Amino acid sequence: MSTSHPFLQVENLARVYPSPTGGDPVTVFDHVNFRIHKGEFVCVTGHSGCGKSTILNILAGLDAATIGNVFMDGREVAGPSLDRGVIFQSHALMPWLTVLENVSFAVKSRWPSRTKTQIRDHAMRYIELVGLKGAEHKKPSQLSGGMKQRVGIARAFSIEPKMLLMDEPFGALDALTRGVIQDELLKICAETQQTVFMITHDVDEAILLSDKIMLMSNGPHARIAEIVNNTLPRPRERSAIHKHAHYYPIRTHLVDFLVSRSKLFGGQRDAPDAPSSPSVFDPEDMVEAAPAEATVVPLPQAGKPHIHLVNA
Amino acid sequence: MKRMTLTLGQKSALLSLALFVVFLLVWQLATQPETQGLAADVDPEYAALMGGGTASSASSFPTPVQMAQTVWERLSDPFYDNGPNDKGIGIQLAYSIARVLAGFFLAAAVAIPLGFVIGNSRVFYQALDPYVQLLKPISPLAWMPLALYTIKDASASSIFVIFICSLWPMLINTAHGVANVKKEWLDVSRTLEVNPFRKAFRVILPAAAPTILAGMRISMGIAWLVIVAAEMLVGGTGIGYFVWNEWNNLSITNVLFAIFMIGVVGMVLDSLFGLLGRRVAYQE
Ligand SMILES: Nc1ncnc2c1ncn2[C@@H]1O[C@H](COP(=O)(O)OP(=O)(O)OP(=O)(O)O)[C@@H](O)[C@H]1O
Ligand SMILES: [Mg+2]
Repeated sequence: MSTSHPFLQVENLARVYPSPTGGDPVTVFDHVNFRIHKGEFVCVTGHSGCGKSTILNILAGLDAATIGNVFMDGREVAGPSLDRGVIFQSHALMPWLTVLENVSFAVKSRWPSRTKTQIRDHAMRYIELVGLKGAEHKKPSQLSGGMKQRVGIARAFSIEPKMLLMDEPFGALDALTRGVIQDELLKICAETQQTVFMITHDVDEAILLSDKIMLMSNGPHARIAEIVNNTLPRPRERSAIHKHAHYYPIRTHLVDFLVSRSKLFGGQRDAPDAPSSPSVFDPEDMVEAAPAEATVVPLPQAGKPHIHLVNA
Repeated sequence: MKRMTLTLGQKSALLSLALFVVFLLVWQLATQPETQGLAADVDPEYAALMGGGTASSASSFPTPVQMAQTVWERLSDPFYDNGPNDKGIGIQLAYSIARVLAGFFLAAAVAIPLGFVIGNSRVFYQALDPYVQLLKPISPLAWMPLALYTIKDASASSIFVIFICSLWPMLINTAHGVANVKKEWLDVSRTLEVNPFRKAFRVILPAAAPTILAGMRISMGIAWLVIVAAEMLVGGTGIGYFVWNEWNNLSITNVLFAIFMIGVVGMVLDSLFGLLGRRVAYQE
């Protein structure tokens, strides 16, 4: 684990909802701890309803945790802020505004004293960045799903936030469009060194984009059960990453978790309230993969099982 | 071998025209003097009627041609003013429209800001709901005696009645539109730290505008219905008073003419709001 001061620190987070039927309140997740370093791209995955969106909303400041704290850049997160750009699952564009007006609205919020032309130019730069030049005067209803999502990305990037939060941004897109936008996102993030927290259900998307993948167990009492270090080297090419020795071990590990291990935590455990640390999976810890490249140095833990517990 | 095909618009225009012809024919058959049988033979009859029509049948139902003549006469000089009981139709309509607009915009000035507050706050919504539910079903004309007693001015009283009847649809629609602004748009403005003033005018207002305008359109429709009745009650000026006055004069032709003009003005007002509504509409 890096020793540098973490950029985002989440401590002992829990969210409890009152029961809809008037019975015991429901603890969606608890004892959630994790850190994100500057420039890191972190993906979260887990089954539907485990509380991923709730965590993202708490990070955004749109929702409040029942227990626990979130610190960003040393300051506690107490409400929404321009420091954290959010890309919503449903793109959340304002349908009465054009593409340019939607992005300009955000830019003007960020820099209220800028002139009209400055705002326009700044917005146009980000519209071009996501490949929407020529469509800036269209209304969202005239755009395809992929184009709308790109406007959402342009809007979030245009305010130059310290951190980006994305809730399944590409969930509603077809595979082809999703691929194109993922490539664009990869490029933009490489250029801007953006710190990203992203929810996804797509294992391949997580592998392509992330530095770290957090796996959430099923709720109630969901946890961050495992953290996978994505050791695939950058820059990554969609067409080439599967050739890397770490690709299949990571993928298999993720799929295995979602299929079977995710059930073994949370409410099904013996002591649901017992605090726990996530296990960390690092493909570099394996020798079975017999890496072909010279870059992979066998580590002292060689021969150990795939997963080992550490204190995160 | 090209067959002529009509567009939907052409077809409906033709049908409209046909309905109008049928309507005129039935009207003609129902109102023409007994001596004549067929529509084709009536031309000389009209010539006779045109000379002494009003004298021979002041209270009888006019034929289409008599009607057309009256419409033409009255519309060619709409703004004459020969004292309290004889004013041009333009002047009478202007009085009514002015009252409707005054009452309507007063109501809008109250209903839209209040609707904003109610729509934004569940507490206000629930606190005011019983009053709205109680006051809404009251016929606006029931307020008239109270208005006359307190305001003591006929014209102002009818403006007040218009105010009351325009209030509810705008208030309810504004509150509804504001309360139903999508959470995601509000979340966007929260993450962008948009100040409350800018949020109200740049997010909530445009988001709720179609619903608010629909409420304004309903209000305007009701106001135009009510003004006729209100002016019949209080008298003096306005299209409602004109109708009542002409009925007292037993001039069915003028009553019919007034009815026709009420319809035309109502249609114009409604389509104005329809146009405005289309301008603020958005497609998701
Ligand atoms: N307002 C609420 N009141 C009560 N329970 C809620 C509320 N919002 C969310 N929940 C519960 O919290 C849990 C987590 O919801 P959340 O939306 O965070 O899940 P998620 O992991 O994002 O799921 P998905 O992958 O389907 O988006 C769900 O079980 C849901 O029923
Ligand atoms: Mg979700």
